[in-house]
Amino acid sequence: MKALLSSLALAAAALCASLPASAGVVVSFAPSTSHIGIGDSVVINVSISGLGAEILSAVDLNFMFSSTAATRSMADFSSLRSALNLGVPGDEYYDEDVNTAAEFGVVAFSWLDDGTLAASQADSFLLGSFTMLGASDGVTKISLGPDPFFERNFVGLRALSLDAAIGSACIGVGSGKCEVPEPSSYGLAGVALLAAGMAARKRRRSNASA
Amino acid sequence: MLKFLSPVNTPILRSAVAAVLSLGAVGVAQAATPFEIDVSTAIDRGINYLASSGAFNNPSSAGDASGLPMLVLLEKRASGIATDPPQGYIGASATDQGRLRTAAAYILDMANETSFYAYRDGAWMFALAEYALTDGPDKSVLAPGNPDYETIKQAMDRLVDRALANQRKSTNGYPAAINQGYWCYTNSGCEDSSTTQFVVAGLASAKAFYSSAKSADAPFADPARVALIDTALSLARQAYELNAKISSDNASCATLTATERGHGYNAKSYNPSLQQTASGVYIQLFGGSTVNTAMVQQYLEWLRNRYRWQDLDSLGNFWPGNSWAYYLWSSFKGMELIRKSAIAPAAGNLGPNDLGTLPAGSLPVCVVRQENKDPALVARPASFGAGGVGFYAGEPKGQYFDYAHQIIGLQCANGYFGCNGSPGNWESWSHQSYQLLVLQRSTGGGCVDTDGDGVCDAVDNCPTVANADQKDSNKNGVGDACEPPIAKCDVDGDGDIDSVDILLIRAGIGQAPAAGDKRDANGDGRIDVNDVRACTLKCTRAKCATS
Repeated sequence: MKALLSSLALAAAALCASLPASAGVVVSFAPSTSHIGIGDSVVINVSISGLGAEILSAVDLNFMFSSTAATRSMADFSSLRSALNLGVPGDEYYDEDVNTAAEFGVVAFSWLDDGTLAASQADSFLLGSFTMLGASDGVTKISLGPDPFFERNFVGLRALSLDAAIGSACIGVGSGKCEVPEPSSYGLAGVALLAAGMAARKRRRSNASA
Repeated sequence: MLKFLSPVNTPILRSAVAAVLSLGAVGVAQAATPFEIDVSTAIDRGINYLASSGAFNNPSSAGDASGLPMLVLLEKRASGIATDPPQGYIGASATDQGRLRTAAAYILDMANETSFYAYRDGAWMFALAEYALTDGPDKSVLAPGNPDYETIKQAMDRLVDRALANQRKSTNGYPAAINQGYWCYTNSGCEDSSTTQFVVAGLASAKAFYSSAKSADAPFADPARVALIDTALSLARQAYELNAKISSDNASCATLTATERGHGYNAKSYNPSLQQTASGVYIQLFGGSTVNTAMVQQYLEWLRNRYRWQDLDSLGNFWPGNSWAYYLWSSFKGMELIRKSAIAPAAGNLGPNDLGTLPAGSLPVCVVRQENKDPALVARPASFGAGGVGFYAGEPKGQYFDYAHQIIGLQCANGYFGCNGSPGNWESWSHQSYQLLVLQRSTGGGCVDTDGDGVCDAVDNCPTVANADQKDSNKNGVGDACEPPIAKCDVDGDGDIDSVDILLIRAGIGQAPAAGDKRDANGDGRIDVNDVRACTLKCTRAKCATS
């Protein structure tokens, strides 16, 4: 039986995240905007939701950091690994192939077949997190690079890339200020959440009748 | 390619059985929405009405319409949830199996005591085929030794042969192609489309029966009759192409575009109507067309431009009230067959989900055209409990909600769909059955089988390449027939695919592949993580073990 994360918790996290509203699959950063003082830290969580009947079977990701106003003190993608190995270490491949101040790259895939992943992988889950330290006055934005094959590639069933809506995060440090999202952004986020919720419900149904 | 349930659709049957078993354990309501629960309630009430009225008896009180209530029982779902499969005979409760046995016995008793009648025979063919293909018992169980009864195969042969004999074609007096392909009520004497749609549906179902490797008292397989049915279905499709017409009975929506086409009760005498244009879609699909065939697109355009769920207004030829339920089933069935096909509408083409999306005032203007209902703005019918407006908020908009919400609001306390301003009907048994079949998302026992291998697209592990055995050696859900060639992934050329190969591909991510590069598994001209994953799914051993 598929383990489902609390949709309420995800909804709460996503409400604070920046979410393009389009596809059912959403990759969100939470909090999407934050402000810290120099020497303070904030944890940015990266989650995927709305998989519905789909799965996450592999990724090729490059997280881009726009400045060193906030610097990365830790990156933890053990959650991604767990999603790919379903709790059995070694049943996934994981490689942090880029790790500089400006970029953090991950290539990972599951050794398990699609059916096994579909039976047990959650509809929504945490991919990983970055702990960011305030280093100097300014703004640091975190997002995935634009290349759909090598920087923001989320792979699902049958080795096909997912059409995922990708969010971003902004950290203001000291006197640095992130732009405040326009109200319409929240509407878009609501649409994305609704789509994710409906896809999750569809998935639960297919499990119930399997 | 379209066909009805076939014996090799065992995944469907297994799913049906599994669904029934699992629902017994976990309960129906857990995953169902409020709307799905109410639909399920309406279906139960409606079937109980049919049962208490004797529709499943032998002899059936439904008489010539008895195939429709029988199909309703076969298409009953474990709940109102969209993904629940039809129960068939094998997945039915003991009570429903008893009802199905008596309903089938009535057909086996009557087939040899009747002559061709399009409505009755069409419905008997699709009900009997679905009953047989889901393991319904034959004469040896239903009426052993009784000379009045035929076996399932004998009855099906009789129904099919007299249907084929009564189709208008060159060999029985209709040399011009434009006059061929139709059936009249009891012969080939007219070009009635309401009768033709029933015969086509029945023959398509019979084709699946004859394509089957199953047997009951006698084997079902009959390649010769399959070929004859294919010819007949193709001729019917041709009739709906050659006789397609522009215009409608509603003066304000008479001719909206130059490309739209429809079909009336008799194409040469009537303007196109909603119900006959809708059934014309599935007749073309069963005859070999797809959603992207030009004429199917033209029929869809006519339907999109005049979409209605409330009634037929003036778009039902002379019988707008009587034919409403009949329209709902034929139009839902045609659209649902497209939805379940492996062939999606091509870019720029119309699809079933375009119905109801065009406001009446948008071009081309048609004042009677209706948009999809908004589930958040409609009320829960009082007979299902408290709730009022907004009770169904969150339910997807679309044709199914439009029809199903309208239908459940017309249900009487006794389960009959004839209250609260219900339109009229031709005959109460079919009227009741049509609406139940819509609620059940019925395709009349049919499914889309694009590659013609006998496995419905919805459960085919390789829907565009024929693979009747459904072989899937690495159990990745993709049939071997659809897997990329092994040579693509065997990078080290040692005759298998294992983690050594996978890691070589991973190391090549970002490199430009050479011609014939084994690392470019999907042949898209780059080496990326998709190739890694594609080859992981091809591994010779579980988890890509090296030995």
